[in-house]
Amino acid sequence: VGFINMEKSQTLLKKNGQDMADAMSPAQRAEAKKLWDAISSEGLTEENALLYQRFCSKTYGMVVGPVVVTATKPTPREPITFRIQKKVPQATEFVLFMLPRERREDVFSDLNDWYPSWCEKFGTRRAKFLCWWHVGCCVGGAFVDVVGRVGEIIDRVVAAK
Amino acid sequence: MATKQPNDVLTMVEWLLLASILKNDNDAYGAVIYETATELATPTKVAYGTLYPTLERLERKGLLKSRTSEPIKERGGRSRRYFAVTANGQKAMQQAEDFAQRVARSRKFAWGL
Repeated sequence: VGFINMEKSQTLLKKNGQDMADAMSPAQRAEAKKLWDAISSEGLTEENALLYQRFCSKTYGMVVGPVVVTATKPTPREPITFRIQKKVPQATEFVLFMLPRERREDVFSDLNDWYPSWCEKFGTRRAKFLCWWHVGCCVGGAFVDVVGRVGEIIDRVVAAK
Repeated sequence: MATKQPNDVLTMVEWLLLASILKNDNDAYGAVIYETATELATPTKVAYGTLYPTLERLERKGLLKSRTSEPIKERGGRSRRYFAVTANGQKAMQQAEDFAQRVARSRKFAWGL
């Protein structure tokens, strides 16, 4: 359930992740360029975004789960650059349902910030482990928090008596 | 909203989180606060599981205030919660620092330093 996000700035692309153009064969590059030209000329519609995403998933068979495809508009100086940004495993979101809504959104947002850089630094497997580790810490932390608050209430009741 | 009692000294983690927010121009969200706190706490570590319960506890005590950002498209329409230290929070930090200094002085006195 990815989408295409056309970035005006290339800073983000250079900061994280792999440049897709580097890994493409000339034929794939040509097809990507053709598709991207269509996307650029027609605007970023949901249909061509999905078409492009399908193409990327096909090219990069090893990509598992939903991806966000980020692309830059080609300029005379720089060639077209594409990158697949890996997304946090969706199953973590179900586990985070145990947390209050605000905290759940905060944690998921943090994981989204960290996950691509973890993938880059440690590889997907360890990134997934780290992701689950942090989710586990949050659920554990919430449990300890609840126990602590129950303790506070008991303490107040005992003090009142 | 309850305010922190003067004699209720901040814990190390609470102080670290408040200091991290102040270090980020007194406006920061969870991931940034955690990264700064971990950097400040080196070589020890701050457990991620304690981050949000502690921030929420500090907010309940009136030492922090939070605001929710506009929904972020790249985050699937989710918004972020930004935290800022209140005047009471800064006072509590000062108290904690004074307390630590008093403890250090008494230890030196006890050891004849």
